[in-house]
Parts: sequence; C-alpha cells; structure tokens
Amino acid sequence: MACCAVLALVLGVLRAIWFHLFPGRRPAEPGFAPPARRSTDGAVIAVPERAPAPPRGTTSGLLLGVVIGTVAYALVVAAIGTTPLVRTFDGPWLWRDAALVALASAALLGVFARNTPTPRPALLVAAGITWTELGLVDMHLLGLFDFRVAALPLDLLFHGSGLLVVALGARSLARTPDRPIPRPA
Amino acid sequence: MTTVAARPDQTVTVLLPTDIPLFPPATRRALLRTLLGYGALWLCGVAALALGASDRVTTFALGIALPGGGLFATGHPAWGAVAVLGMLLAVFVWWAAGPTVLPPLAWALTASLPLALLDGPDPSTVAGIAVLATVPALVALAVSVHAIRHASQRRRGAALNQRLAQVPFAVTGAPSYPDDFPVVEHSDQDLRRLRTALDLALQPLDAYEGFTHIDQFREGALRYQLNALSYGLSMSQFTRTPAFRGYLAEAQRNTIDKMLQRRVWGYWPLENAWGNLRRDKEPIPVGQNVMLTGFFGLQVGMYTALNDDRYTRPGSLTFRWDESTVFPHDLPGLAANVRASVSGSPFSLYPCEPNWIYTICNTFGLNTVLAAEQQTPTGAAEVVRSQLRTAYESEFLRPDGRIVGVRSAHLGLSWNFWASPSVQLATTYWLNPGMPDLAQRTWWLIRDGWLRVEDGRVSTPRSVVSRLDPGNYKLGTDTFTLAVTTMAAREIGDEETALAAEATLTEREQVEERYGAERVSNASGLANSYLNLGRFGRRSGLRDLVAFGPPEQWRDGPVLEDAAYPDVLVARAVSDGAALDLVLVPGNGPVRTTLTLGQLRPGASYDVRGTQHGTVVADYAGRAQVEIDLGARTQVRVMPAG
Repeated sequence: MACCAVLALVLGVLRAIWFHLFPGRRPAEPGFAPPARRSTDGAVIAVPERAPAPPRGTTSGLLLGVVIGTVAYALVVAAIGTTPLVRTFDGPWLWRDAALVALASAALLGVFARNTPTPRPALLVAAGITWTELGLVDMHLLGLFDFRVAALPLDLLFHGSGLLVVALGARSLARTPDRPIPRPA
Repeated sequence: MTTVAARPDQTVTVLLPTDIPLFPPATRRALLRTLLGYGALWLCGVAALALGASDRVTTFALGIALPGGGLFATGHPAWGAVAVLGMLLAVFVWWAAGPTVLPPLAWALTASLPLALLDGPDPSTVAGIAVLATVPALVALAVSVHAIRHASQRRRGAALNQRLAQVPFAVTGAPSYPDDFPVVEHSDQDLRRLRTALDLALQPLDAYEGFTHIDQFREGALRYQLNALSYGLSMSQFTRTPAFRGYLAEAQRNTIDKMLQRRVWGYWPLENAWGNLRRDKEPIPVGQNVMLTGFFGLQVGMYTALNDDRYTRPGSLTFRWDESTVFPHDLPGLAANVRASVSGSPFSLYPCEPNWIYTICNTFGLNTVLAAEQQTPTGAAEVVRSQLRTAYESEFLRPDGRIVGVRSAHLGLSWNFWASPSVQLATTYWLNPGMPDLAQRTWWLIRDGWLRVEDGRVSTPRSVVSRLDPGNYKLGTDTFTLAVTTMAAREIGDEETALAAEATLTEREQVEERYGAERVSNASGLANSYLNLGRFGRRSGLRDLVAFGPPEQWRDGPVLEDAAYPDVLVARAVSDGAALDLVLVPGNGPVRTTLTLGQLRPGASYDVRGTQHGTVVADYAGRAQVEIDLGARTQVRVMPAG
C-alpha cells in the first residue's frame, strides 16, 4: 500500500537514476503468471513448465564488478588522500591513473557487449577482488601511499573490506541454484 | 458495473475538531522526552566549553551537541557538512527500514571523527558557541513555523467547518438482506482481469512468477502484493460470486499460505533486531509490525467472512522460520494482538517499522478486529474503534482536516509532506469500515481541493508523489493513484468519480492479454491488484464485508463447490438460502464439464435448470454433481424440487 509514499518516491528516484545510467540492468517487469488449471474436483491437472532461466551472465557480472570496484577504489583513495589520515608519496601516479581508466573502460566495454543479466554475487566477487588487488598494488608494490595513523588496523580494514565483499559474493554464489527448482506436481 | 443499493442512510454532519492543540498530549510527551534527552547531550557541549575541558574533549562534546559540531568548531566546515549529510542519510535509512541504532551510531561516529582525523584539534570558542546555539535556534524556528502553520490551519479549519456544517454525509448502517447485498455479473473484461489474479494466486506455493521482486521492506515487498491480490479476489467474491468457493477460495487460501512463508515475513526478525534491538523472530509481536498483523489479518478476515472458519482454529496460521522455530497464530489471535497493541500504545496507533507509526497501516489493524468480531463477538472492537478514533481526531489530524501520515513513536516528530493528499486518498478507503463518517469527511476534503473530475475524466495534480507506482517504485505514471481513487470513490458512493477514474485509465493505459487474462501493462502487480479491488467494489462494499459480514443466506445456502478452471468461469453465483443461481462462461472454448454443488440439504432433491440434469439428489454430505455443456454464457438455477 502507498503507506510510505515519500520513501517509495525516494527509492523511485534512485532507481530511475540507476537505470538511466545502466539501462540494460532494468529487470523485466513481471506480468502474468503461468496459466493455472484445475479439474472439476479442484485438483491441479497440469502445471506448465517453468520458463527456462535466463542466461546467468556471470562474465557480464564479473566485468561490471571490475568497473564498480575500480571506480569505487579510485574515488575512495582520492577522498582519503585529502585527509590527514593518509600520507602520499611521489611515484608513477600518472601511469597508475591511466591504468585504472583503461581497466574500467575495457571492462565497461565488455559489459555493453553482453546483453545478459548480471548476477549480483559475481559482481560482488569481482568488485571485491578488484578493490583488494588495486589496494595491494598501490600501497605495497608501487608504494604510492600509506596510513599515517593506526597503520596496521587501517591497512587490514582497507584490504580486508574487499575480501569481505568477495566472501559475501561467494556465499551468495554458492547458494544460487544453477537450474530452476523443480515444481511440485 | 456497480449497483448502488437503496438502503436508508444515516445522515450526519462531520465537523473538524476545533480543539486540536499545538502539540497533542502523546505527541507532547514524546517531544518533551526527546528534548530532555537532547538537552543532556547539549549540556555536555556547554559544560566542556564553559569549564575549559581539554581540546579533544571539547571537540568531542561539541560533536555530541551537534552532528559535525566538532569539525565545524575546529575549522573544517566541509567535513562538518559531510558529517551532517551522513547523519541525514542515517536518519533516512532509519526511516526506510527501521534500524534504530543507526542514527546514534552515526552521531557518535561523526563526533569521534575529528579525534581520529586531526592531530591536534583546536576548537575555537566562538565557533563552539555557534555550534551550541544551532540546535536550540533550529528548535525555536521549527516551533515557530509550526505555530504559525497551526494557526493558519485552524483558520482554514474554521472556514471549512462553516461549509461542512451544510454538508449532509450519508453514512451507511448495517445492511439488510437482500436489498443491501447486490450481486452483479462479471463483464467479460472483469473475468479477464480476474483470471490474471487467479493465475497469480493458483501457482504452487513455492512459485512467485508474475510477482515483483525488489525488496521485502518497502511497498514493493511480496507481502503487500499478496495482501492486495487477496483483497481483490475476496471483493470479487463478495460482489459477484458469493456462492462460489472452488478455485476462487483456493486462490485466496494460497495467498494466505504464502504469507506464512519465511521469504515473505523474514524481513521482521531483521527489522526487530536492528530497530528494536530484540532478537525475537515472532512476526506478530504486541505493539509492533501492524504492517503485517493488520494487512494479513484483514486478508484472513475477508476470506473467513466469505468462505469458512478454518483460520479461527488455534495454530491455523503458523509462521514457520525453520523446522524447529514456528509461531502459531489464528484470526482471533491476530485481532487480540491488535487490541493489546492499541491499548498499550501511548498514541493508540502503533508502529509499522520499528518506531514509525503510520495512520493508514492502523486502519488495517482496526479492520482486522472488525472482521474477527464477526466470528467471535467480544465487544472489544468498539473499544479499539473508540481509542483509535480519538487518536485519529487529535494526534494524527491537522486542524485543516489533513491526516498526519506518519509519526515517530520515540521522538514524537512528523513530517509535513506526510499530510499529502495521496495519504488521505488511501486512508479514505480503508477507514470506511470502522469510521465511515471520517472517511466521508476525508473524501469531501479530497474532492474539495485536490481531485478534479471534468468531462468524465479524473485529473490528479502533477505532483511527483501522485505519479509514482509504489509497487515497483516507477515514476511518471498516476495509474496507482487512479486505482486508489477508483477504490475510494466507489466505496464512498461517489460513482461518478469512480467511473471517471476508470474511463481515464481505459482511455490512456495499454492493456496486455495472454491466455484469456488481461492486465494493465505499464503498472506494477500491486497496482493491477488494486485496480481489481476498485473494479469489483461497490458502495460500502468493504464496510459491509468487514464490519457486518455477508448475510446468513449466503453462508448457509447452496454453493457451487467446485468447477474446472479455466474451463468454467463463474460470472455470477448467488444463493437466497434455498436456491442457487449461477451464470457460467466458458474460459477455454466449448466444453462438457462437471459442476460440484455443496451445502445442499442431505438427501433432498433439487431441480436443476440449464444443465443436462433435470433433477439431482444431494448425498449425505449435501453434495451433488451435475454435468453441463458449456458453449457460451449459460444460466443455471438449482432449487429445491417441488
């Protein structure tokens, strides 16, 4: 019921923006259920087969995850870099920025090339891996920045948050059935 | 089409209350509690500044006095603004899904932020004083604005009362049989719309094809779709086919059984944990979750009034979390829960999401009590009605007649946009069974300034809220608003507006058709179900069904107990207590099929017109079967022989 119309409105605006940015992600509007059948004594006589599941689009999900992970990582690092929390060093920042742009662009092209639904678990796994890998490369391979205070806990939190997202995605992935659940007769 | 019964109405005058205080009693107590609580935090900031506490303590205390206060006072306005935004986001999420812990956590976090970010925070005294003055100034401003608006609303209320004094509202009383129980025949389009609902509801219990799957917390949740689907099916039975059970009753039972599944009600343990800090999974708690208890109770109550009393038996509505965790309930228990919740709430109305009281949700609570009262009269409905009425006319009403849609039970706060006409529109419909005079007045106010009917078409204001489909959160269409308009107008007896709303939709909306079923394509499942509820309604249809119930003749007379679906579509089925009249339409081409009749007198002979049989004899269980060749619309009459 429209008991909470303003909240629904806010959700509507957020969803409209999201689907404007990613038009392919809009789920198909559900419509009819399969036609039901009952015999003269009320028994179920024939249940139509469930429509085949749409293609899972795991690759598409992984690629979108890379895009989201890269963009989120770049934004967060740029933001915390302006705080006293983080100390930055001279280094190949230009090459690193170019690499991030190239990585996100290539993955985005891959997403647009595939017109399949993106399963959320795959997206989470890819985003988490991307986050963690980029953080490790920036901080410990290229040595571009580190944490000025509470270095060890923040380091663990920074990299561990990506691994946490990977774990969440992997857990959902393990639960997602590959085939439609058979319907009872 | 809807027949307007010619029952004698009670003519009443319903004025707006003139004594609504600036802050009604329960609201005032909650607000004072809030102010006292905040005052303690504010004093921490004052004490730190006045007593010359260390810079770190002062910075933290200023952050406690105002979100981001420590950052503002130490010269970081941008970060302070981020902290305020973060706090607002936390409040929004609290509102959306009820996590009570979030705002205090966000507040504490923003207060701690400068201590973590800054090496040596150095709050300035002047900025600290400004920080401390901010909230008292905002409170004073808010109270002033509220007082000015309240005075303006009182003036408008007085002007409205002068006009309302001249308006006779016709409130329907207890319906009498048969005049006040018109049973009309489904049109072909009615049957196509009904088939969409039947196909949705007759799926296996674990199947949810055709339902919207977005979230289980807000309007798009499965539970609201199931409620609305069932309401529409029940209303079609009440006004078209009260003497048909079969697949129509099974469809309603399926929606009830689905409501008991964890995937539908599993949102509550989460909300209860993060909103009430309780680990109890009980989905029907006292004083909480009226959005489940009330909506579901009404759904069960409508089924029970029309079909059988199976859900009044103990444990007949058992919510199952897992093999070992179950929560047995029944219809009288749901009603008792509402009564206890209303009695125990300082506002009388009680929350949907933890803390958030919505006026419309509580109408469902009252309707649950009214529906259950039909089965087991206890007199408690009058107590609940009286308590809620007092609250609806004081705590949740503005002096200009606008219903306040939401209030925080903890803080006493509300939001002005919650008095939007969209809230009034839906409340009109659901308020009519229990408080028909208030529903009439609300509808009059809606028609007075918001809803326009011209040339047989309805136009709603081009506000964003009225152009939202809450069933799928899609913007840009007022289909849902027109659906609720149809429901409310028809229920109130404003058939002109109801027909205009339907005509507006027919003219504008695309419909899609499949396997003989039809739905409005650019609308959510929720909107389609409410379109059905409006389509199948009639004047005081909900009120008669929920507050008074069907006549004995319908409950005890012969019924069509079973028929094949979709081979036999039942366009009309009504009994007068002795005979049964049916209008049947083939739904899948010409067919020879069998009908099962029930509630006949055991061993009695019945004449049957319109089928292959001239006479049938009821078995010991009061049942008989007749064969019928159904090639087109066919009328069947079953009556005692001789």
